[in-house]
Amino acid sequence: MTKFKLAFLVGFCLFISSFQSGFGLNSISIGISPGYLDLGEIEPGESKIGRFYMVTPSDELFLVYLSSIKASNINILQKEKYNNSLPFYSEEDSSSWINFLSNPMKLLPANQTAEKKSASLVKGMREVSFVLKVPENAEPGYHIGEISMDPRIVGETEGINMKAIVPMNYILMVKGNAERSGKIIDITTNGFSGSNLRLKIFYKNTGSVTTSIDRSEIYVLDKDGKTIGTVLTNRGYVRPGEVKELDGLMGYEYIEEGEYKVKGLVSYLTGVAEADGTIHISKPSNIPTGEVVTKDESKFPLWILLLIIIIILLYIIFKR
Amino acid sequence: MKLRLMLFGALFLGLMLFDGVLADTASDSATVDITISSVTSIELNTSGISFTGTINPMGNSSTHGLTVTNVGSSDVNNVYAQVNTGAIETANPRGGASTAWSATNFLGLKNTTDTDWRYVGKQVWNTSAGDDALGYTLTSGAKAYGDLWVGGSATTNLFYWDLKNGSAVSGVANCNSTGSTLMIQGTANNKNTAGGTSAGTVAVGVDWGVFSPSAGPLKGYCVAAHYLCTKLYVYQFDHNTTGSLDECTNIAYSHITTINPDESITWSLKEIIPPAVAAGGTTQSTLTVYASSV
Repeated sequence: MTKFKLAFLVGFCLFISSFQSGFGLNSISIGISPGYLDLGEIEPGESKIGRFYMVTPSDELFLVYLSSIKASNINILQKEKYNNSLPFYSEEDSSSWINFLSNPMKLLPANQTAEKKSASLVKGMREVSFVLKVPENAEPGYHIGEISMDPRIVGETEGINMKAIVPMNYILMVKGNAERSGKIIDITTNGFSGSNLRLKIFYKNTGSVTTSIDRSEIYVLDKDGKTIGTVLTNRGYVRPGEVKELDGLMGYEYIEEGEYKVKGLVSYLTGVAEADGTIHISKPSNIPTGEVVTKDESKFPLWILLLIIIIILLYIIFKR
Repeated sequence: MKLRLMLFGALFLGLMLFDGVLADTASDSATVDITISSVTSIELNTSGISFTGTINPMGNSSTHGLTVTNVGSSDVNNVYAQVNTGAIETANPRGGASTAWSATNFLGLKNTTDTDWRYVGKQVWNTSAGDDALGYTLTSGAKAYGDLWVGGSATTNLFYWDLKNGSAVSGVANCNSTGSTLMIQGTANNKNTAGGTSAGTVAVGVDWGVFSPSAGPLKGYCVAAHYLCTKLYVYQFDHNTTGSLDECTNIAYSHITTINPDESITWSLKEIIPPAVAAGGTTQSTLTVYASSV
């Protein structure tokens, strides 16, 4: 092989390798160990230290920003160990109860181990420690929360464009009598919004823990009890003792004026509250119409209107 | 003879037993018992993914496969994608340089079960400050209006919307309060937003009010209206629980079923470019994929 051919081959290989790396995207992966944390039973006002490991297969040095947020799912409660815990589940936001001992944290590359406390330590692992302080007025029952991680490469100026994260979910049990229950207080109509009728459920949380509404519906029935319209309302979290207004919009073009029976249904994960009611539907005299935007909107001058009123008043006065 | 036979038999049995002892000794084994650490982790295969080429306005980039692999020792599920479009696009980019736009504003995702392309996290900006309001028929009292580019597949068109504030909170009538309305016209290129479809009732939240449209071009999406009525955030998979975004009834996971260790799923990604974006590069932003430990 001639020197020229060899140089060409080497050059070509270098070109190919730079072409591929230039088109690849950065990707960071952060995992966890163990799969979740059970912080056990705890009294209101008590504190506890929690620990877990975050792990990466990457060869980069990361700064990881930790944040405590509301849990995005209830996977933990579906584990066999917590089979019967759902009726005692408080959906109170516990994210503010967590304080990290160090934040952000350095996560060393996978080929270095930060600590050698455990014989089974996986490379690229780093211990995360936090203090959980349960407030005095915390609701009783099982609470779950999530610790999320936002990794950033140290020294990188262009940022990262893809990340893969498994957040750490934790569970704890605040001692006390946890009860999930609720009832519908009233179902009403609340006027119109554009071409829609506003319907509303007043729902009260009668239990001792915060619950979320995962579905809420209003059925409008005819005289025979047949459904002539259904509307889904908004959802949300309801604290103990709170009355939440759940609004829904329903097209009213095909509904006659008059009295209608209605049925409300509010599902709150561990139960369903139902109630019947009556509403009166009266159509508005003038259905709101759109406002056409034109380039030169000419408004009737106010001074002409005032002048006409003054002339009429003067006419009435002088005619007397 | 009998004695010989018995001796032969005894010798044979002895040899058999001896052989068994030898065999036992030869196959003696040490117990191997290891416990795998419980690690929950996923990885993205990004090799070959590139959106660096030139894409025409009202066009799409080529499609790329994004593989999510369970590289841990525990099962994962509830996988979802989230972008930081809002952190990059802090001001209205319309009419500005291409760098005012976040790259993830145009990012579409198709998961393993759906046939539609869905925006991962798109900010849709109010155009009322501009001069292109001519021809609209707005909902009376609308505070904001604009267009939405629906692309990614054979149907590519502009759809128009308007946003009206709700009741006043602390003297200010914002678009995240009770009674806020979002109307969107279901016919492409029709600016009669007042005659469009309502996106339903708003779920009131901090900074954002959230709509869950059940009809029209935003059907199945979650649409958050900013309290200042300046923009909408269109998403479906964003389980960001720090605000009220998770109160959307349409919220979903990009992949819900269990992925076992060493298994993977592949989504498709592409950039869906609307009209009227200035030529040039957009600002780099981040796609984050989350999974939950089962």
